[in-house]
Amino acid sequence: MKRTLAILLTIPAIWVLFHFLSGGSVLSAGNMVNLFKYLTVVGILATGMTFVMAAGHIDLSVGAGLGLLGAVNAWLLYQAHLPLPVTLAAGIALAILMGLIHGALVAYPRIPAFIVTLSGLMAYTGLKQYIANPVIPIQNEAFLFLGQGYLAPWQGYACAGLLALGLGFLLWRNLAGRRKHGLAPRPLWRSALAWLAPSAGGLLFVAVCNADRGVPVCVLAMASAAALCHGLAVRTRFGRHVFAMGSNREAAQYSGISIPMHTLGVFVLMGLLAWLAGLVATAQLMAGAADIGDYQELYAIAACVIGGTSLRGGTGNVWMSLLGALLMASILNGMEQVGIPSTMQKVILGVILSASVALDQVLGRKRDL
Amino acid sequence: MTPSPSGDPIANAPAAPLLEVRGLAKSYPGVKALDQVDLQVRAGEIHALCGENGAGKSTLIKILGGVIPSGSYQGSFFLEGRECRFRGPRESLAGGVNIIFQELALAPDLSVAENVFLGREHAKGGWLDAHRMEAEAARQLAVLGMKDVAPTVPVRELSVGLRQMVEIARALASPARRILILDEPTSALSLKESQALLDVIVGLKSRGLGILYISHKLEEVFAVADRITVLRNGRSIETLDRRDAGKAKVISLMVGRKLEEVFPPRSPRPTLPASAYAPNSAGMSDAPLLRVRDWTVPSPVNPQVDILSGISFDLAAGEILGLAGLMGAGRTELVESLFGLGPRAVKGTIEITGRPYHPGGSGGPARAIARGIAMVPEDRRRHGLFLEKSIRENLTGACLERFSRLGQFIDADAEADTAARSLSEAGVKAPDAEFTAGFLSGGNQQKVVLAKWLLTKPRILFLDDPTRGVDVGAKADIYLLIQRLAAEGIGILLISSETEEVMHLSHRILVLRQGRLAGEFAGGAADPETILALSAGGATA
Repeated sequence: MKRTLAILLTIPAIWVLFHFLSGGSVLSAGNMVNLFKYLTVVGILATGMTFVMAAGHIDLSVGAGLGLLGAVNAWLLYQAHLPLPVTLAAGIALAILMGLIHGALVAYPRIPAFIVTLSGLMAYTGLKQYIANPVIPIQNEAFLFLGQGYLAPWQGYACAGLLALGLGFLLWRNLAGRRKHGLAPRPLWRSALAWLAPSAGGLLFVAVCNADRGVPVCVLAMASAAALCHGLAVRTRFGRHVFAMGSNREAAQYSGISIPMHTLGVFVLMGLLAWLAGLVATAQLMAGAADIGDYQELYAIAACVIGGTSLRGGTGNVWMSLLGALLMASILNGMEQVGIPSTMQKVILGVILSASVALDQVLGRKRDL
Repeated sequence: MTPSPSGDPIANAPAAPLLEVRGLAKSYPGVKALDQVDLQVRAGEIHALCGENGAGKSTLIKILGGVIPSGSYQGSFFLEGRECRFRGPRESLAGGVNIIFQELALAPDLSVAENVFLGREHAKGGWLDAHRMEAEAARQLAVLGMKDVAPTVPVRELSVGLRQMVEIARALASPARRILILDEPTSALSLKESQALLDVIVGLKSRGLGILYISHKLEEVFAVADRITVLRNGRSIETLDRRDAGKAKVISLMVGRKLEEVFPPRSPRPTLPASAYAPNSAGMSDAPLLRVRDWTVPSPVNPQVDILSGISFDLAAGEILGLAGLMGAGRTELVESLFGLGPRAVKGTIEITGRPYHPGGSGGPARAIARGIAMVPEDRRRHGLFLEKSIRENLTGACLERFSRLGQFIDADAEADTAARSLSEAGVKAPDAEFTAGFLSGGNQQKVVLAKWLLTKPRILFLDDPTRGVDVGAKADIYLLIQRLAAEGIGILLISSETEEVMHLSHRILVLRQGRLAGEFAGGAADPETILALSAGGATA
């Protein structure tokens, strides 16, 4: 809770700070749309990485993996001339296969995930450079819509409305469930806040986007993926067991939880999210290129860590990881606007990552990295 | 299942026992962990299992819990008359065996309710029914008298005592529960927490569960148990009704008559005064080699509890001081904390030949070694050896600076020379010093560990169960070595899981009980019954 508040306050503070430093270019509708579009690839990866890290593992291959999946899709579209649905299905199949391979190697011969996915990182980097050389341009309108498209203003508002309705439904179910089982109801103000804050935030976001080009489709894709994964994490047996496995492997085993099956599941999920991120990244660039996805896995891991996910497993929250990604994206965007060279931006980002975790430790939060 | 009224479990017992163990036996290479165990637990009774360290209690639990799978042991056991062949913990759990291990099996990042239902969550249409689980967990906690623990709190934030309760709540929420096994459940608990736990356990009898209660603490056993089975050397010796059995009887059964092993004749106590608390005699300063006063060490898992409190003793040069006590009495913690491996928040004073010494802190064992202390740890494979490395690298691992130029560059010839000499002195049977340590037999490994510490030229030597898992021949060698070292003037603090060993080798014996000094004997002045009685709290000295 404290961490959520801290991040939620830090992000606007960063915007305001850089807004003034840059002479007023950060807090414009256009820049906000760009910032959120930029955020999506890392955000989608961080969503899946939360699961991987909660399970006590890590996935270094997803950056290269998303580049490969995007490049394969472009190649199937423009060199093999297959129809778009076929290429998408092939991409999903490949993503699942990659996840299964990672999961199986981690689960059965018990190779550390670090090694397995480091191997993946090397192999996929080579493969994507082979496939996407020369660059494969994409003109398919439907495909590009995912990366380049914007919702019409009314569609944006409809999404905000759906968000408010959906949240309201969930909160109502929560209240009803608590009453049914005789549990003390949550304080009204908390329910109200839990409904009001995201609903208002969504509406504000849509309004800002509509003042520019509209809500980017890729942001909608990221939010939908995160919502699904969050539900999976906190409302299903699978999610519960993954977190239990990461928190205490033996306890999970003694409770009858199959460690190999859940390891496979986690890496397949990560593969599917890498596929989605690959589509978005490729569509944003309008091409399958050799350097798509480079280092994205590291940014995703950093986002999770800033969001409070422990490297030892057992903890993590999908929304918090997204906020971690947004925090990093905001800093990068701000430095860009101020005109700090990209070389220096990376140095600063590295310092900030360690400093944020160190601050956490000093402030005495019980946190095991 | 007929829940028996609390009055007389024997008269009201159903015909078939809830759990019946027949002729269980389990061997590891060179060790017979279980020999012949027969046991019956009835519904609604608390059945205590008593035995010395190494009597086979943990092996028995592991078999019942499926940790040792069916097929790798001899004999059989039955639940409600049906034979059980568990291939893993899952099957054991499904069969109704709930074990509360000493090391808690909870996921610390999950909430209390989530842990209570872990692996058997309630769900509706694929989505977890969190409210139902929270409500049921709350009810279960209330039954156990933990009304003020919110089911939504992460287990990480609970005290060890409360975590133990969560495990019990978890066992009670299990639909298949028949047998509840508690393995030393109070070992990390404060007195108050222990009492609360015991009350809960007694309360569970009326639910028709069979409870197998394993504890070293005889007070606890006599407070809660209906019947008591004594294990010794892997055999079930006798099952007694609590009302017919006195503590003395149980203790004598636990000790039994062991085969007299070949101990060397006790070496004469070196130039020592009658009491080591008195000033020392000729040639040396008045101060003893090691003087420990009011040594108090908090538990690393539960800082409110002291695992050692107010320990004071002296160790003279050339003296073998035996430390007796049951597992969990704090013997290992005592030598580890003196060696600088304990928690930081230790209290008390230590002097080595009159000069103050502070273990712990950033220096850790390096400071202890510099002051002439060496420690042969209890777990040789984990703490004593670099198993993948050669004997030479193991031998010189704690004294490398002696063969290093400029403090860094190792003089390979000097190292090899020292290693070879040390090897033959210690009588290690190995082809050469380049042999991989992990491939040596237990006895030879232990000789390597001893030789490694002797190379640091210690004045004070802590031996924590130096003959554990060692065959008889090597034991005799190690006994002779211990006596030779003492004769050379090294002060030795000796811990052993075998009371006999401490009795035969030591010049003086200190008995630890639950972190406190419970008594002191002169070597040869005590018999094992007296020591065990003092250790288990069955008598006072």
